[in-house]
Amino acid sequence: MTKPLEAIPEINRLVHEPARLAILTVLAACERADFLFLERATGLTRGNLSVQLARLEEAGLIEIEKILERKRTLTTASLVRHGRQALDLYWRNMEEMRALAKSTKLAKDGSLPRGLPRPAAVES
Amino acid sequence: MQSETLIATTRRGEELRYVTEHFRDLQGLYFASVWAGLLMLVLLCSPTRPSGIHLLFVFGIAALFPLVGVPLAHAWYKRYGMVKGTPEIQYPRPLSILDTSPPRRRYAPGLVVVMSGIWIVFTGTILFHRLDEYRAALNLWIVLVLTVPRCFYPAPAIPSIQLRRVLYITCSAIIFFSVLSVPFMGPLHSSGWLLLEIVCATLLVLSLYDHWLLSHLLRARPEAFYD
Repeated sequence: MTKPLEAIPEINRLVHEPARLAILTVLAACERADFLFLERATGLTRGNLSVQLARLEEAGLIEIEKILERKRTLTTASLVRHGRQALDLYWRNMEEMRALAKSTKLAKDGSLPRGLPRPAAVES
Repeated sequence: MQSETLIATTRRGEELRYVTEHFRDLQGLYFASVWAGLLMLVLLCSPTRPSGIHLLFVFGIAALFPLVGVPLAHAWYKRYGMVKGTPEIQYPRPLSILDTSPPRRRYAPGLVVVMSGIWIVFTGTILFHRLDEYRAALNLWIVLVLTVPRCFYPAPAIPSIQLRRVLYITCSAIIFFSVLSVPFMGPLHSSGWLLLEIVCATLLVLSLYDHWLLSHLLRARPEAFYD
């Protein structure tokens, strides 16, 4: 017997966006990372990375700090407590969703019910 | 299919987490220069057993490798950016993406301290024990401080990362059994030098693999990856 759709956990769309999820995952694994490392690790262009960082900062998930180092501005980002909680909740919900899909055998025909956000894109 | 996509997303997250947590640990060029220097020292000492001025000359040549290599490695890794708050030598930590707790520093003796320690023990043994290769081989245990923790790092199911673990386990086993076999070697046997050469060469290869792995994991990905 399948579980009702109400049982499907709500996914935070701000975190769910693949580029932002990648940024948050990197920042969750360290105290602080600079713009260059984030660019390298996520593979985002500078423009896109700047936009996504700004959105995350606006949402209060990360903190951006600009320091002057050898006449160069070094931009670093770190995950704040609220951001870590949001990411934690996101992964738990995803895990629940995965378990739910497995238990109800929704994955068998390759479809999830309507209303579920499209999962993050992955490398083929 | 959707379920597979979710699993793949988690794997991608684990890969990102691994490369961030091990960012400094994977910077293999630092240690590669140290191992190359020690390998050169052992290679130059083993056939002729130099003494006095010649020994200092050989030592100077070998010391050039880390003296030149470490600043070059530093300049090279600057292109990858900066990550703060990850231990240099990590303790095993669950890799589950569900664990988003901030990284803690339990065991971080520092790269420079470890490198200096190994260099002093190895070269000191060779210089002040009149090229006693047996004592040098006995001191090989110190490199286990570097190799053994890396055998226990939780690693995502990515072949290149799993291969790293396999290489470190193999290397640690080789070193461990080499150290155990030293007391059974004859006093005039040349296998002590051979042992040192094999271990230094193995560690050099491991360091170069670490460097390759870091470059591989941080390779440029197309923006379309996120569409």
